[in-house]
Order: sequence, then C-alpha cells, then structure tokens
Amino acid sequence: MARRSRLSDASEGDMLILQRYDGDSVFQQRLQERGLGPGSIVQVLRNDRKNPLILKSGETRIAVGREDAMHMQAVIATDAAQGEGRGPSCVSTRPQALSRTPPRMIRRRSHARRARR
Amino acid sequence: MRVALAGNPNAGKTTLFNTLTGLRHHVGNWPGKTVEKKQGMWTYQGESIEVTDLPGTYSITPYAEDERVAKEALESGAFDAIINIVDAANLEHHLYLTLQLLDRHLPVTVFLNMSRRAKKKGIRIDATALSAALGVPVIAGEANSEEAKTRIGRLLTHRRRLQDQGHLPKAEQRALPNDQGESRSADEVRQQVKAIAEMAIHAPSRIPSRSDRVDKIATGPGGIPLFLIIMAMTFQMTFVASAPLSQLIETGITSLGGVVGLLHLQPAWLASLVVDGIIGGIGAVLVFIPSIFLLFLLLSMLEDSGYMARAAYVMDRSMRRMGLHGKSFLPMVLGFGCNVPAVMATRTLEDRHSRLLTILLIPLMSCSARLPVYVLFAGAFFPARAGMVIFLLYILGILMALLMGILFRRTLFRRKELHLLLELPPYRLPMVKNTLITAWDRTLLFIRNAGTIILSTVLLIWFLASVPQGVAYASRHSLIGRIGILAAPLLSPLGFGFWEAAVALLFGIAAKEVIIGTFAALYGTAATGLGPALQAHFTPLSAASFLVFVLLYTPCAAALGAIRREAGAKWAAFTAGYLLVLAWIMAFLVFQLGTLAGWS
Repeated sequence: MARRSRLSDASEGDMLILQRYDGDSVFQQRLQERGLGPGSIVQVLRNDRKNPLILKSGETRIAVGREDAMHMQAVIATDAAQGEGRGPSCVSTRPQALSRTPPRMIRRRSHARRARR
Repeated sequence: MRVALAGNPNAGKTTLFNTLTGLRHHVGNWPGKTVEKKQGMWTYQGESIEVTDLPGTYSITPYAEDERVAKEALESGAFDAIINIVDAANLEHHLYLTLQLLDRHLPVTVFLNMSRRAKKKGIRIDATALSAALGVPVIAGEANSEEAKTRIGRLLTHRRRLQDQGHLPKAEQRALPNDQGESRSADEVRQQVKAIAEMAIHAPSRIPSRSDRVDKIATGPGGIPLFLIIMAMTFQMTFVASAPLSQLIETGITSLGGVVGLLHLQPAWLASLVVDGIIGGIGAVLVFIPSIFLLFLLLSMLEDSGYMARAAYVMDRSMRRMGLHGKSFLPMVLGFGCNVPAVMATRTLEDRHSRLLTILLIPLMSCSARLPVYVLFAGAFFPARAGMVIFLLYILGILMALLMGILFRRTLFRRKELHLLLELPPYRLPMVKNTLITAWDRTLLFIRNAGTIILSTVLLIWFLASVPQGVAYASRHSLIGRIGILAAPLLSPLGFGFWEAAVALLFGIAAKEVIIGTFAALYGTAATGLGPALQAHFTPLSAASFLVFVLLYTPCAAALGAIRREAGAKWAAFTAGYLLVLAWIMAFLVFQLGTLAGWS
C-alpha cells in the first residue's frame, strides 16, 4: 500500500496523487471540477505550514485552504507508481516528510450525495 | 445575431471581447443582479453581431453570484452562438467547461487562445484533433489579433447562412437544454478532458517559470511587507495624482455656482435650488471621478498583472481571524477607495455568509471621502501630529472590522469551516488597453450607481435645509436645523452636542466629504478659513471624538444603496444601525475616558 498522508503535511516540491477529500460534498465537487479530484497529480509549490498551500496542476497554480488540505489525502506520485506495492522498497522523493503523521484511512460516505445541484 | 463569450477567468475573455467590439460596448447590470453585464456591437461584412461577455466561470455548476448569472444566461437559449475561449497554456483545465457546454447541446465554437505565454512555453496544440474530439469548430489564434477577429467573423457569418437555410436551428427554435447534462459526474467529465488533452496537447517538459520565481517572494515570508508597500504606493499615487484634477473640478463647480448666482434667478428658492442643490450635487459626484478612475486603473493593473490573487493568498491567514478568507480581502481593499465598488466586488465570493459578513465590514474601511474631514480636523487641532492622527484612524477602522468580524461570526454567522480555492494566474505585464477600458467601465458604473443616489440625497437635503420658506439656507430655523437641534443632546456625551455638528453629520450621510462644506456654510466662512471657526466650537478632545464618530458612523447613501442592492434592505438597515451604535459607543469612550484622563 502506498504511503498516504494528509495533503497539509506534504513538503514543497513533492509530486502527489490526490486521494479522497473527506469534507462537505459541494466543496468536493468544486475540487473535482478544478482538477483536484481523486487521482489528479499535483506538485506542491508552497507549504509553509501557516498559509494556504499552493498546488500546481498542469500549468495552473491553485491555492487551497490549509483546513481544506487537512481533509485531503495524498500519496507521493513515485510511491504510488510502484503500485499497490508489496515490497518495502517504496521509492519516494521525500519519504521522511510524509511519514511524519500516521496514515489515516478513513472511508466515509459514498459518492451518492454528489447528485445534487 | 447574438453571440456570448464564455470561459474560465484568466482565459483571455476580456481581451477577446475588446478585440471584437473595441469601444463599441456598454456595461450595465444583469437584470435584478449587481453582476456586471458587458455588451458590445460588432459589424462583420454587414452582419451586425451583438456580443455579450459572460462572467468568467470554471464550470456550469454555480457557486458564486457571477457564476450563477453565467449559467442562467447560457441556458436561456438567447444566443445564436457561444464562443468558448480556452487558453492553450491551460487547456486541460479549461476544457472542463467546454465539455459541460457541449453536454448541454449548446451551439459552441471553441476559440483556442494561443497566448504569448503558451508560445513561450513551447506548447503546441493540434487544433484539428481537438475539433474532431469535441465535435465543434475550433479556431486557434491570439485573442488580441485582428486575424482572430476575422476568423471568428467568417465562422459566425457561415453559421448564420446555415441557420437561414435551415441547416442549423436558430436561437429561438432550439429546444431549451434540460438538466440532463448534469447527470454526468464531475469525475466522468474530468476523465474525458484528460483523454482529449493527452491527444491534442504537445507540451515540452516543464521548466520552472518566471511566475514561480516571482512567487518565491510574493507568497513567501516577505509577502506581507511587499503587499503593504504595493498598497501604500497605490493609494499614495491615487491621491497625489488625482488631487490637482479634483481641485480643478471643485474650483470649476464653485465658480459655476458663482456665475449662476450672478444671474439673480427669481424666485430666490429657485436660485438656491440651482446653486446649492443641482450644481452642488453634481459637483459632489464629479470631484470623486479623478480619484475613483485612478484607483480603479491602478487596481485593475494589479489585477491584470496577476498580483491581486497573491494578495488574497498572503492575507488569508489574517482574514481567517475575523471569519473570512483571503478572497474577501480584495473587496475590502477597494473599500479604502470607495465603499460602493467594494460592496459591488463581493459578488465573486462563493458563499453567502462570507459575502454578507464582508459587506457588513466594508464600511469600516475608511473611504477616501472621509479623508478630507480627517485632514481638516487633524490640521486644525493636532497640527504637529496630523499624519499620525489620520493613520491611527485608519488603524482604528481595521481594528473595529476585526472585532466586529469576530463578534458577527460568533453571533449572526455561526458556521462551519471556510473553504478556499483560489487560482493564482501567471504574472504578466498588464495590457494598457484592457486596463484602461476596465477602469473606465467601472467608473461609469460607479457614476451611474452612486451618482444618482448622491444627487438625490443632496437634493433631499437641499429641500430640508430650505423649508419652511424664507429661512436662510441650512440655518437653525430650517427644517434640518430643527432636526439638528433635536439631535444635539444625543451628541452631548460625545463632546460635540451642538446643532451645527448634528446637521453636518446628517449632511455627511449624502457623502462624507460634505461635512466640511456644511460646517463652512453654517459658520459662514470659506472652507479655507474653517480651522479657526472649528477651534471656537471644538476642543482637541471633542475633535478627536468627532473624528472617531465620522470614521465609524452610518455609511453614505451611495454605499447604503449598494448594500441594499447586494444584500437586501434588511441588511442595509442593519449596517446603518450597527455602525451608528458602534460610532456612538467609541466616540463616547474617547470623550469620556479622555475627560477622565484630564485631556479636555
């Protein structure tokens, strides 16, 4: 299993694959529409642990609120590329940064709620 | 034929609009909304085309007021064609909206903006493949080029011919799109975008761009100091550069009044109506124009350069203390210039609570109309420390906003977390033509929105100051003088319980800087000789208390009008009321504590 952690704990320069956002469904949809849904690859341009994060998605830079980033899971892209790897040899650009917090794997509500306007 | 421009913010929509229509356009409001509506005419080979610039939107799912307007317009079926502008450098993000439009079977033509940025990055896009994948025409070009204009014109006239021959349905014949397009989830649309993007985009591997390097400073630890410097320079430039022009206008108005006075219009009330009412009222609007235009110009340059989004970013953390996020900051900054456009600018905020709270706090940003009052009083009573006194007033306003923000967040708007999703567009040199047009449009909108209100309030006050018939203008025997005498006791605990102050403050509701003119009229001096006259009535302490009151009390009629339109009459009344109470309490504290401390 790839290392998974909160987006808010990522380090600057990391390439990440975003996972789920466990907050309200309206914002979840907004994230998806702006290319920050589960499975999107982003680079962390700035994370100073105080201000919002700045992510780069394609050629677009988007600032995401720190509180929102705390509710987003992410894995390091190189890590995930190793697949749902068995081996201990997860190659990661910044392993120490992401292992700082224990992985949270909360599976919550299905996507059924999304079907509202 | 009627054409709409749709696209993401920062896609080059405004540039294309200006290219197509030039100066042949006007700005108004969408019916019942305060969202700007830009419409222009364009004649291509005899075919007159009405172009509507829709508010920028990332998707057809509306989150903010302006996005709702765009969605409704798009789905209204009022357009023969929709030009969807996408930026080549950002294609993967911008195609999301395109696919949503196509899902709704709208008559879309894609304009692929091959901006300079995209070229510099070496991004190449296969327009034919893109067109095939989307199933609609794709025109590639630069948004500010004549060539783009011609090609769009050719395509539109061709479409027109097809419509005339019955091959394509006309706007009014097309069945209204139903909501079935929404059955696709955001995820599915994204997947398709990705597939199309992979096929059509050839982008070289990325190198860190110049924007990233500038951002190292602008969003780093030095971000807040940099921001403060930029803002200070903006306001400094606004006031310094516009002062001579405003002065000129003021002199012109005064001498016009003088000339008309020489005509000895009969009866006397008519002369007074023309000089004090109409000319004075128009003057009150006109003196604003140079500074408003300049402020809008500088701010739209900052906006166009991409810096404003960074300002929102660096201020996010501080704004959260008062229960708002960084995006609320831009409207509040505008508030220092004029509260009216500031209130109008809140429409970009996504959720209603943030929007309302921002509107409630904007009047605490000391607008430029209050400044002359500060300058006059600070000069007369604290000549050695005038600058400091004025600075402290601005700070007091900000502190009050902070305090009231926390208070309102605890009471009126108790609520969940605040989401922030803010695009930071790449930096670029502001385009002169675009910023000039934007600033001019906003100024016109200001004149139309605020002007009528200021004018009618001035006329109302003229009336109150002139009845009953035969009284000297605004004297103690006039209706407004009597109201002032009634109100004066309420102001006694604040240190300025005389009727002239009450009348001046009432007049100040028309426009804050009118306070000075009123004092001048009541004390029978020219505005320049007002200092000594004021010193005869105020002490330094009561002057300080008066300044605090002027900073905080009921916003001017134009601002209240804007609040009413944005948030409803209830909230306008609430704003007027809470600020009056707050001003009274703060002025009371200043005067009473000052008296206790023996400063009187």
